Amino acid sequence: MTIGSGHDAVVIGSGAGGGAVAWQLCQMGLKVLVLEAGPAFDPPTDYPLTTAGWERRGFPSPPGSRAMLRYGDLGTLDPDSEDLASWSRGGFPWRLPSGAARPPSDAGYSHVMGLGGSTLHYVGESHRLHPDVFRRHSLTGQGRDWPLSYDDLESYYSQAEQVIGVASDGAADGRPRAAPYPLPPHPLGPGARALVAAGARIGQRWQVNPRAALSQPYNDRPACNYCGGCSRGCPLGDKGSTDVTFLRQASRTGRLSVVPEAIVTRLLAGPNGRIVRADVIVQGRAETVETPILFLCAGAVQTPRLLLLSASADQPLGLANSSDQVGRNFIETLAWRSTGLVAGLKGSHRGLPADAICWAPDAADPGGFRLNHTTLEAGLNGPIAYANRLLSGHGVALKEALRNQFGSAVSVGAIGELVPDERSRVTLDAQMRDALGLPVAQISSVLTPAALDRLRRMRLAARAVLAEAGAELVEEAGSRDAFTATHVFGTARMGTDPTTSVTDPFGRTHDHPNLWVADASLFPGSGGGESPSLTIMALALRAAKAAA
Amino acid sequence: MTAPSLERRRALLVMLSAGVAPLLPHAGMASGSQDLASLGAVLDIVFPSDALCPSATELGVDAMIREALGPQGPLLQLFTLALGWMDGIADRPFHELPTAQRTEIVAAMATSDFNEIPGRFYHIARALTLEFAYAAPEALGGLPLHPAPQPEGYAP
Repeated sequence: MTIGSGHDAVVIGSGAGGGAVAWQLCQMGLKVLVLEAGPAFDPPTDYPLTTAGWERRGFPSPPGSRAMLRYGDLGTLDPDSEDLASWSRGGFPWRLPSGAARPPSDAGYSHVMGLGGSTLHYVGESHRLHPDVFRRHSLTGQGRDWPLSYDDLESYYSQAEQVIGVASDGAADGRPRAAPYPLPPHPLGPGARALVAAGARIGQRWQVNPRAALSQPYNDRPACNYCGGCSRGCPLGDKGSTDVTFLRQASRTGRLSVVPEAIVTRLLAGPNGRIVRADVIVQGRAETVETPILFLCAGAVQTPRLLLLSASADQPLGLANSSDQVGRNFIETLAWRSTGLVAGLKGSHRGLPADAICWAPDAADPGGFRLNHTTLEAGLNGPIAYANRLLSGHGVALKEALRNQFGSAVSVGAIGELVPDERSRVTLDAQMRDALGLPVAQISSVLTPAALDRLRRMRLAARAVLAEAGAELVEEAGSRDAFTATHVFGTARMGTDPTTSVTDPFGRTHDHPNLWVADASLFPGSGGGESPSLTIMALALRAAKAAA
Repeated sequence: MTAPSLERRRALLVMLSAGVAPLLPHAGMASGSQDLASLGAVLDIVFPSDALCPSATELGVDAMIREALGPQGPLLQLFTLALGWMDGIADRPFHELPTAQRTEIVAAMATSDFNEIPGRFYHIARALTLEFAYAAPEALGGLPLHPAPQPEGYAP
């Protein structure tokens, strides 16, 4: 097969950004080629949540579905922050000593390369950024303002919610809506109900979390049946990953071509700055692709890597990098989780993951972080995690304790705003090469003292609601001990000033008129803990409309 | 956020590679033997049978752990050393001791220093045992769980 030319637009990546771009362009009548570096997954066979031993299997990782990476400076485990060290009642009584380098966790940069990108393993929280996020620096002096407003994105948020199928109740959350959610809310599970009740007594307003999981059949997809396995891959197709939403609908236009296992190795710019060609390895065979419009949607690690890999004599710093901002301003996920056992609570393994959220738990840190109910995301819907992490001891006493206490765990997660340290960036590694002989991305990410202080506030808020719920703490974990990031941002940020940003407010690169970015690389800031997928989709829909 | 990885064997190997080697001279137990005859007896103290659920060996956990240990490497070395030490505590190998005595030995290991071989072996053997045992549907007796989340799910 030759993928060649003849397309109106080429999209690199098929996750939240690439899927939405492809959908929008196809709707507008363009012929679109999507190049996806990873494989296509088959949900019924690849996400085996029907077979015993399911708990030992995470999201599948066949060859080519994870990028090779190297980690650079991740900071050190400062003795002054040892109070933030992770611990669990049942886990290993071992931790890295203070002064050691902060390591990446097993998950590290947690991502998927595959048709659907990281939406394949996302939980599906579908958040709009709060309007104040777009004016963060103006309002607080912290972080950066965005070069657009909430109003600029509102209609695109609605469009994305309609396509992926977001379920919620529309209760006030400070994010004005012109249209209702397309689906009614899911019922809250027992753990969420405990947090709603406890939160109300201490001034934490917990509410339904908008989720891209179907509360009833929608389009051609079935309703969720609450298997709790969203992050292990949704076997039913009710979760709003882009393979079963944007890409499926775009394919029905007859104008979409998708090529999995197509690794773009280099982009070439012509003398007028326009991108004239992409070099691609398709299932081991070298190809070139020409296109009038190129969208780069590979995420905040691989997008800057490809731009940097495309350096030439004319662009020695890489493409789109006259500002020297490509790869800089890397923002990881600032996260905390506290877990407790609530005497008398039953069935906390039931229901939808991340079913409840508290947007503003700390009046002294408005917009700084949010809490959610994260028992199922934490893996506490199976006996292995319970026994190994939450319970100590062994023998018959342990088995009886598990029977008595299974279903009583409640986890509260927190994700917060992170203003990056200047050392936090993505670069090309000087030594490590991938299978094609190309330098891999190196991630450096250092937590600032302000970030550690925010982690303490997050912990305080999480502990408060658990204490009010009557929970006995049994496990806590957070970003201080190890780098774990599912939400990453900032490495090709948008702006109005070409000397301090990589793209304009629509995602068009300042340096190349037909090269667009549509992923979380664009984000000037992390937001206040909102999950980014819906904003990536909204930005992508807006960019594609502008580009068409 | 995504569910934490359960690739415990990898995590354990990483931990062990930094931890066991320095222990060997101090512990003075470098036998070189790979006799794991007492493995099942240890696992059945950690995970005994009861009215609702078989024991670790009845679930085949000992065979799964032997496979997980592999033909060589630090994890196998740790298990070999620890089991050798346990076999040398009394006048008979561990697996021939009365249940009460075996229980007492494992209880002592549970409270021993994680940076010494008995303590580290206990925690790693426990983690692997629970992971393999509770992966089996037969171990779910008394728990409000299906063998797998699909196709029934857990409606709230």
